[in-house]
Amino acid sequence: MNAEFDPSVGTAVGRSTPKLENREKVTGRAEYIDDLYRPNMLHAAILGSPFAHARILSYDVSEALAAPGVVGVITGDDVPAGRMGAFIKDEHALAKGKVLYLGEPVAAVAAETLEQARAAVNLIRVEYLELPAVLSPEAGLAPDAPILHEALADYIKVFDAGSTGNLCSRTELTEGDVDAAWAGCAVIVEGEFTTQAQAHVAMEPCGALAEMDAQGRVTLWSANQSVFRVQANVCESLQLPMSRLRSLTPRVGGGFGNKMEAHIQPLTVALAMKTGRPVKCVLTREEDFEIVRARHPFRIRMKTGADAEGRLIARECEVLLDCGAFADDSPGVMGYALLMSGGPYRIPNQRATGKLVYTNKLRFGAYRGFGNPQVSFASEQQIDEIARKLSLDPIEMRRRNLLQPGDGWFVGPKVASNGLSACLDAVEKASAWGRKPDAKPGTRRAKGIALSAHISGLLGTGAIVRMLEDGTISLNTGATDIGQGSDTALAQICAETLKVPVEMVSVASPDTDGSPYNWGTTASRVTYTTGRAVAGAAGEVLRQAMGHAAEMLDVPVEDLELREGGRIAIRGSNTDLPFAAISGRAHWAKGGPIVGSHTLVFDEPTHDPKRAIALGLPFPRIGVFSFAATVVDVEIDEVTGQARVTEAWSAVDVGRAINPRLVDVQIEGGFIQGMGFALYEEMVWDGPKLANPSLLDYKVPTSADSPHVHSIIVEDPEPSGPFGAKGAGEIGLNPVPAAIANAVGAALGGVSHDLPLTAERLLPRIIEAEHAA
Amino acid sequence: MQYLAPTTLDDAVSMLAAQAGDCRVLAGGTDLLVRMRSGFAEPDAVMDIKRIGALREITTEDGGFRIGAAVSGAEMAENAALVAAWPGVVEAAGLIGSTQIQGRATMAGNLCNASPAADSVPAMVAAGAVARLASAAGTRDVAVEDIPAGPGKTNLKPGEFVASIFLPARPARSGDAYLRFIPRTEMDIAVVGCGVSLTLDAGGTCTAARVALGAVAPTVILVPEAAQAIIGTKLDDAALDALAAACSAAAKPIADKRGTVEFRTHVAGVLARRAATIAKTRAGEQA
Amino acid sequence: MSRIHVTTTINGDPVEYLCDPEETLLDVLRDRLGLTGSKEGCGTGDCGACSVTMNGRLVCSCLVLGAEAEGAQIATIEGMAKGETLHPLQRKFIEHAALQCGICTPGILVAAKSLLERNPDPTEEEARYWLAGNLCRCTGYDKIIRAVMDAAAEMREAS
Repeated sequence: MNAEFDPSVGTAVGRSTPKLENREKVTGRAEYIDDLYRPNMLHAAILGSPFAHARILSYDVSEALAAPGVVGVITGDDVPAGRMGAFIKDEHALAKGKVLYLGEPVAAVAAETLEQARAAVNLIRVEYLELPAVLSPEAGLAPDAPILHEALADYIKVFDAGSTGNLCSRTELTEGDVDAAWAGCAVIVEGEFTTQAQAHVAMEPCGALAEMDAQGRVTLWSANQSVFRVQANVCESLQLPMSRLRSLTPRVGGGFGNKMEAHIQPLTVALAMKTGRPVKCVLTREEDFEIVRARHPFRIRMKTGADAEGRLIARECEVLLDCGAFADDSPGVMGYALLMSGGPYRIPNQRATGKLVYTNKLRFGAYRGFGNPQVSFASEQQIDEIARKLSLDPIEMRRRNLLQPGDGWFVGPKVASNGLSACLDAVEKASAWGRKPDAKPGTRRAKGIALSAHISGLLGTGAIVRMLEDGTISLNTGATDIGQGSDTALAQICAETLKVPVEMVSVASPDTDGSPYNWGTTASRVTYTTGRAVAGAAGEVLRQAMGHAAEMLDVPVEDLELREGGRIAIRGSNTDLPFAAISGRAHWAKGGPIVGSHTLVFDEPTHDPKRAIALGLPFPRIGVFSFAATVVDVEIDEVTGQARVTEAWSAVDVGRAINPRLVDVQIEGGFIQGMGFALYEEMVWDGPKLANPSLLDYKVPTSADSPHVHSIIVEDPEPSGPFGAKGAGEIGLNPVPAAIANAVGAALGGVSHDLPLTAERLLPRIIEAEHAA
Repeated sequence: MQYLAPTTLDDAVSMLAAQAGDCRVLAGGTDLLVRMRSGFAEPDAVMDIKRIGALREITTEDGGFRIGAAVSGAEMAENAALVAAWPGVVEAAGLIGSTQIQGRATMAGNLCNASPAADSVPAMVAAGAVARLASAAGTRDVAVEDIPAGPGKTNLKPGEFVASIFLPARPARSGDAYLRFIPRTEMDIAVVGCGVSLTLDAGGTCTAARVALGAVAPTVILVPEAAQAIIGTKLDDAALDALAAACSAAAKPIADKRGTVEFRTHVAGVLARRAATIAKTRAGEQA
Repeated sequence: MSRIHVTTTINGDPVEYLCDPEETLLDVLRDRLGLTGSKEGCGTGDCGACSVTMNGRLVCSCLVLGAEAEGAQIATIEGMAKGETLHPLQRKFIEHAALQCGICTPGILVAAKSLLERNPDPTEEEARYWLAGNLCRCTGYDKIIRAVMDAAAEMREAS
């Protein structure tokens, strides 16, 4: 790239710069995990458990090893006793001693071709002693329930989980005096709600490719949301020093949470180490459904009270979560759901408690929204229910209770920027809320609204910014871009700080050998947290460049200014220096190459002990708040009960949109995923077996199902954020099921207790309403 | 596995007869390749019939249409005369999967896959369609409703395959329609499907009708009581109510991941009512 | 078991390959010919990520046998741009931010091109139904539809 740039190019932040890698993606040249090949590479196939719960008595791999093309086989006997996990370390690289869900990998084969590997896994003989299975959290808590993790007490836990029996963790949060507060309520609503398991269905199934070098060091490419979590999980489960594993990423075909923690990286590494050859393992769609992870089914009991004017006084929320066979991110999901269970409202008395229970199903884990859509489904319907009882408009009801600027959040997190009220105003206006939609003959139609808040932040992050010899910029953060465009947004933040065109910034692919630590592309955090690190590191580069310029121009630093195009000038004069001249001096004459780095961890406490009591809170420090309001227009077929969203409006306060069009896509894409969750997506089990692990029977919204979503960006700058930015990745999904349920409630009356809102569930409500009328 | 690609019907029947092992006929492949991938089918040979010119054609015969077994749904939709005569059958075939599937999937394949939820089959049964089966012994014609024997099973004999499907000539003032219920808007598998074909007299009275239901029994079923409910009527509300009731009564669905018994039973009636109304409108337009 | 020799045309170029009888066209494209732009999202024809055209007809290459390509004209994403010049659809997808992770993108572009060849002036609804077999989990489809409509308008003007 030429170091001479057009200085007329304006500032980078706030522009809808196309994503940096778009050209390779529209021409088919982008490389994802399944597109990678290594010389001498083997292909792997996995043998899944036929039982939900069983002891493994013995393996016989002789026939598989003798099969054509087979180079190596691994079973639980071949992997060390290490255990991995984000909150509770309870999972081996491969089933060892016991299997805990149907389909759990028990062995894997590496062969010259994929067909040979697939043929050979069926030749592995495993002897099991089947055990009674736990298929629901309620069953898991029964006094005589079979125990999944006999050694639970000995597992490493990173927080006070309170684990016992099949109880993986429990969390209790209390503020004010809920029990006393009910007496002062004019209206109390109470109900039980259930939500279903949702599959992520990233269009790219999970995969990994591992290879060991002559020194025994392993290089691992995989579809992931964090090369560092991959490194940690593989090394913990295989008991390797982290310095022995290099974790990389090709382009990633979507994540939504299912590629954050480990999937098949540990077993792929074990196969590569066993065979001494590169091994690629890519899941089929069916396996991706059956053995990765999914959104937690919730059972929620919620009670809410308000005074006669509709001001909320008390909220109680009790959740029971199906954890699946391994803890994974579940304790975090439950803790977060409880933290968000009050919604973005002032409620002086709140109590939120939860139990997370191991069951013999695939692990549930992080999924866009992280427990928030589930509790919002209950919470936002109760707001509408109270409004109906008090004859208040749902928007007016919400206005009377909005969390105000300066208010803290339940349990104690500080809320700095708060554009909630502006979001509500925006959707009210855009959707013409006051105008009732006309229903076609044979249909019922109504609008519904829901609000949401979401936190972006969490954990360690770094950035390294280098000025290259010609004055162009290299940015390295270790943050995996899973398609959402974080590479582009971070390059924009870097370019803005240094006043250079975005094209002048190259973005390094995450590599545990060369990138600074990044916890991951999760928790809506990259723009906010990594963006802060980038701004800091680029600022350090600028500081060094200014120092050089001051010496080169022989003026004090205070007399210098940064100008567009990457030039440092003497204020009020035409005398300036391009970055190329400054960087050349640093490289060859004085000072050394210009490198800026900045690392941080979000360190403000979640819990304020003066305000609330918290037990088993998995996040001692968390992040900053984004806000959203969503309105939907829903039409329901009176004779089939089928509901469909005809139009939607979603306003999200993202602090500052670094790249507005990429924020729009987060809002629109999040909406459609939330709509699928609300209307038809559901993982169905037939006993212990997943009954619909295919895209034919697991219904993901298509273009024909999807309405026009009006995305509205609200900007209430976050003081700690890079250029005021905060997270946008998850919040667009959170309010959608609740908004749709509220529209259904407005159209048919009543409350929707169970998701998804299928025709089969809505039809009886229509028939009942007709009988009543 | 062997890949066979005959170019004449004679070659095809003799190749099929010569196969000792499991030989599957490959038309569009949209079901067969999925079964092969999942291991549900492990044939010793597949016989691709798409190189047989005669099986790729739609021809007129005795005032009706003969549709070759290798004709895709997209090709049917591009035949204006067929669309005008049998809009319901063409629409039903057009509902099998996405645009991509449409370019490949055939009605003959949809029939031989023998799914109770097959979209084109209720429409064909309502139409009184006849399948022509070919084998080394010659050909025989069998009513479409007699082809499926149960989920995934047909009454075809070894060495026999569907060569074409015949849609008969239409009297004046005839119309047909197919509707299904799916959770999504497109690209989905029927929870219930209903095909209706009917003929009106000059006064608008229904003189003949056939009604068929999908996904409510082990095979697609013809429901004569439903047809009786509208024959002799002008398809007024009372007749449509009786039609819906007859369909709900005939529906004997199972509850599975795709739907409950109660819902399928109810929706069978709803769809019959709507499909009959569309068929009536179409018949009226032909007057 | 003997391999089958296939002579075909891919993106206008004559191509010959040997494949196993049960091997799909998708596997041939990706593993034998190095054309990895077509993606496997499901292997069952339910996602459209492997969309190509065969004799001008849009198909899922995972549901076509490699052997069936004998004598056929195949077009894949790799043939869409002419050298460094992007097809209008490719340009509009970039302009409208109609792609995120990019796994569905090649299939959607191939499908959209096939739509515009048949129907240069589709309604939004026609575009949404034509593309219903191409699942996208990231964008929510709105920007994809905008990009297709905009490209169609530009191509009509140019012709």
